[in-house]
Amino acid sequence: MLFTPSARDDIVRYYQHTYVKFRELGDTLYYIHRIFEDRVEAVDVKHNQVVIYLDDEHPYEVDYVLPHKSYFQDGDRAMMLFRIPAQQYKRGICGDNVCIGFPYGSGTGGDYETVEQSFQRLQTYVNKPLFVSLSEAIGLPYHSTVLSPRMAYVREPSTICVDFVPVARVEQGSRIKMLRPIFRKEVEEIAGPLWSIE
Amino acid sequence: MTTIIEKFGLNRYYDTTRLPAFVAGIECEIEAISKAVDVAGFTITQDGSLRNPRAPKGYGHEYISVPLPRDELVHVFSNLHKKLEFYPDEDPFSSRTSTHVHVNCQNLELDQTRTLVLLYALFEEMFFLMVDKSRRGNIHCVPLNETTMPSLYKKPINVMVINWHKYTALNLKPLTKFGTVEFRHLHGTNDPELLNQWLSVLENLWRLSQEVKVNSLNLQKESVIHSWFEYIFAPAPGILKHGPSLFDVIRNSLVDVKFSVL
Repeated sequence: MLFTPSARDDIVRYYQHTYVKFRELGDTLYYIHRIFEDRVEAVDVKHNQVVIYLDDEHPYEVDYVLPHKSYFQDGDRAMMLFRIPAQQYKRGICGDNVCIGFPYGSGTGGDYETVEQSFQRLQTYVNKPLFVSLSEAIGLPYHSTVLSPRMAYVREPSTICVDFVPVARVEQGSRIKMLRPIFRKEVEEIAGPLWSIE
Repeated sequence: MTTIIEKFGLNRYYDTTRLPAFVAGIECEIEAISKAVDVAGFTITQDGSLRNPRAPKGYGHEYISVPLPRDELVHVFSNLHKKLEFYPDEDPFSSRTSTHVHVNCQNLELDQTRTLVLLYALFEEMFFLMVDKSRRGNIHCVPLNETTMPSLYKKPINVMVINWHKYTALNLKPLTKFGTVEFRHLHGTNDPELLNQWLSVLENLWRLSQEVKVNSLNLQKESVIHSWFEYIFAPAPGILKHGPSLFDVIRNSLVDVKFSVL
């Protein structure tokens, strides 16, 4: 969308109080907090400000697309960011169109608990994702660890989840017991050849 | 076996009982129309989410068709666009516009309708490859594979509908009112060839959903999934060329659809 003076009402409607990235500024996320007649002000997570001047002759284009569903590591938890299909107009990230959650307890039904959509957490999501091997994940003192964009290891009760659904249990002696055999191929891919899968 | 029309107690909008054929309706969102004219096969509404700065209220228009077989639908669509006139220097098909297709499922059995949803979900990325690339990021056409909706795939279709969201790319909500499912992908267009190709693919999806089962066995056979892909997208050579990378493209969706057999 072109940021021009005549588009000011649309900019407010679509972007005010949302998080976006600007093409020239890499993976840094910005919060659009103030929109004036002649400019838009945004800040990054460290409070560095950028200003976009609304100019018909040299309009700036914001082409941010809402993020893909994926796990990301946030401290000691594997968090999944996913889209919410809702009646709303915001094109930048906000609580109405994106949600973040983590696998909940020892449930077997794919339960998850949602968390606050903080600036720091969103910035962690947009940074380059870090995925670790299953062996590394087991050695980490985390509640849960990201294995791939769709999979996480949950320490208690030592399960591998696809999204929020436990599909396998990690057992003593480098053995994995499939709870949902349909996901065997996905588990094989993240486990590698050192693991025995039953 | 219970059908959609029986399950939801619907009135028939079209006598499909003697028509095993594919029937659909379209909603064409268009901006910058200088004079809204009546066109056979369509009713007109104004839509506040569309723009027409020179019109009295500033709203764009939506032309909603009656349900028709594919070839007739393409014909009335062509006729519509021959009759419309636009303000100069305005884009009638801005990124705000889209062309929604409602596919009749009144006579499908509940399981067949669920199969239609699962086959769509499996190839969702291919459907998006058929339309303008901006549509995948559109906030009113959210891909199922970006949401937690796949957790519903294991449910019966009537339970899926209750928990569904309208603004997903495949909207199931109209099943309870019209007996249709709504495909919201297609961008605003006046191209009858594109519409025909899109409808042909949807028709194949609709037909295949009456012939196959999406079960644990089939989801683990790449040859079966490949044959489904070739059947559905036969009318779209540009999509078939993605065949060699099919399992990379549908990687996430295949994981999603596996949730249906848990």
